[in-house]
Amino acid sequence: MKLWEKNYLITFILFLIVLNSSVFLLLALVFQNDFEREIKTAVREEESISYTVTRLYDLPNMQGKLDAFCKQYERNGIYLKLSDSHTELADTLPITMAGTNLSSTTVSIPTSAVSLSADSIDVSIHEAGGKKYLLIMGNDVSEQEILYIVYMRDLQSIYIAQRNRIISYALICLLLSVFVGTMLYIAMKKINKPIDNIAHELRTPLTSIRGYAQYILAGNLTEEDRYFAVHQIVEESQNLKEIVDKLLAMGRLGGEAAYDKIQMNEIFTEMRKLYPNIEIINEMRVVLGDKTLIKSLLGNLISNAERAGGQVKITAKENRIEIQNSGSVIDVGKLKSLNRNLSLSKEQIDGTGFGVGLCHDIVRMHKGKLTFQSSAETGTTVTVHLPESRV
Amino acid sequence: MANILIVEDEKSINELIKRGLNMVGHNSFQAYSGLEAISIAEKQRVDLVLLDINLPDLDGFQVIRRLDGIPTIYVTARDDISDRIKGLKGGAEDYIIKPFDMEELLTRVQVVLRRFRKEQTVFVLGNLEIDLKQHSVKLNGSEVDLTNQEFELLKVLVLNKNMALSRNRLLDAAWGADYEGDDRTVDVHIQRLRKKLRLEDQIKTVFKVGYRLEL
Repeated sequence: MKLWEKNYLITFILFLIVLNSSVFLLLALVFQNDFEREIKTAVREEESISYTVTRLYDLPNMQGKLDAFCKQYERNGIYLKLSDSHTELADTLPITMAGTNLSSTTVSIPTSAVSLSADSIDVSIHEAGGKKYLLIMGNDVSEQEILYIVYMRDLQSIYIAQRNRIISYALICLLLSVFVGTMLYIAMKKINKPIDNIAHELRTPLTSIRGYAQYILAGNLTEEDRYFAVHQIVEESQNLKEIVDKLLAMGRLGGEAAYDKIQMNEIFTEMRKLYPNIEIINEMRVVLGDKTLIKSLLGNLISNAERAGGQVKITAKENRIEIQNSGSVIDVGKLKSLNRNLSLSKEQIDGTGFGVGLCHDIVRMHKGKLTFQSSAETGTTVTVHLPESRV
Repeated sequence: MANILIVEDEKSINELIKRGLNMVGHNSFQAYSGLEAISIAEKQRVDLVLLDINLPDLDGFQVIRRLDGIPTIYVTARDDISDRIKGLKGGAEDYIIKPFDMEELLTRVQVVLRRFRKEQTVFVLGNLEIDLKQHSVKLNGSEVDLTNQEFELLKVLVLNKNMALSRNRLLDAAWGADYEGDDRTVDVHIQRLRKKLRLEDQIKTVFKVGYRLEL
């Protein structure tokens, strides 16, 4: 497994852990909140029922009124059992239960809810037939009698709501994981690709340098051979330096470029030293930007132009830097890819294959534009357009 | 000596390999693209091909199929296991990864040539005749008596002629890697070789390195 794949896997697993644990916590909190609210509601309701029932009990024809009262609550999923000390007055409980075995059921009542209730109230959760009920047993005193009230509330709705929430959140998590996982994979692979290329590209000059050094060390060479080998080493070290410079430039990519004052004369003097055969006409004085990046940009464009062959000519004036060469013509398809900064196919790449992409990135960071033109009559011209704010 | 075709688009590396091969006495042809390589292989007698995989036109895997079974060694920057396996399964004799060691490259070339019996076994140096297969050395036509170590030492020098070899390398070659002799052992045996074979001028001492047989 490659290093970037390992990094990807670690990042993705971390993401999954954070995502899932936070969603789990959120769901648990939401449920607890629902549950407490349900209990608070129930306790309040039981109190009001208890109050009403004691009033009804004292009225004439109370049996009929209590029946109607209980029926009305039953329709809303609330079941009641009323009794006085002698007889049962009403019973709409959906399950049969003896008052005694209720003590065995789970009790988990939030303190905030209990504090609301009268001290004679006993709250518990009861499970029967796969359904969960909230049970409150209380008593109240009417003018004549002590009334025993069993209040039972169907809790199924909040459990169903929770189940639906879990399903939908799981679905969202899954989709999000797939989406983020894919994006992350593409992003990390994209970052890694130039690194792969660079590693390969570093090997070529390294092979030459090492090889010629061994050649000098081992061989019985004439002065001419030795000069040739040393010359190769010097040249390949220059290539190596260019690649390292590109790497450095890549490290600075991203965001908007700085507005440092760059003396263009200085830059072009350096370029002239590196590439003695090019012709430079410079009327630009100062560019506001990132010096390392601008140097890397020009270095890349010039070395590409030199590789293409022919005479290389640079004209810098107003807000444009033009790099012309009379070498081989770039075909239309490749030109299109170059202008749009699309990736080139393997056959189209001559060199590392990340130079032009880097140039586009640098120009974009300076809010400029990079264009490529090529024809048999005029040769190839690469133009860096800089915005007014940069010159 | 063998005729070796170098297929490498990077000019400086192509030249480097050529110089390395010429140093030990091989002939070489230089090709900078796959098609060029194929056309040279058709016209010339080529004993061995050193083939890069990343080439401007065809890739190395395509080139090898059109080389008619000429022994081939890949020399490439591609170090993926999958590429190596693909290369070797595709009929290559060996797979060398850049950056390579010149001496290693030459040794691997020698091994492949030996496998195909294209390695030179008889060397004539002036009035000296060395037959590596027969284990015999003749000076002016008459047999010279050499100890086993002396012969092995001579063999390494001859096979790597014109290259400076370190004392350590010579020690390994003639006495085996396990032998715990010191550099002086080599010096003593080189002295004897020089004397017995009249090679005082040809076996040069390379300052701070070792010895070189110059021809």
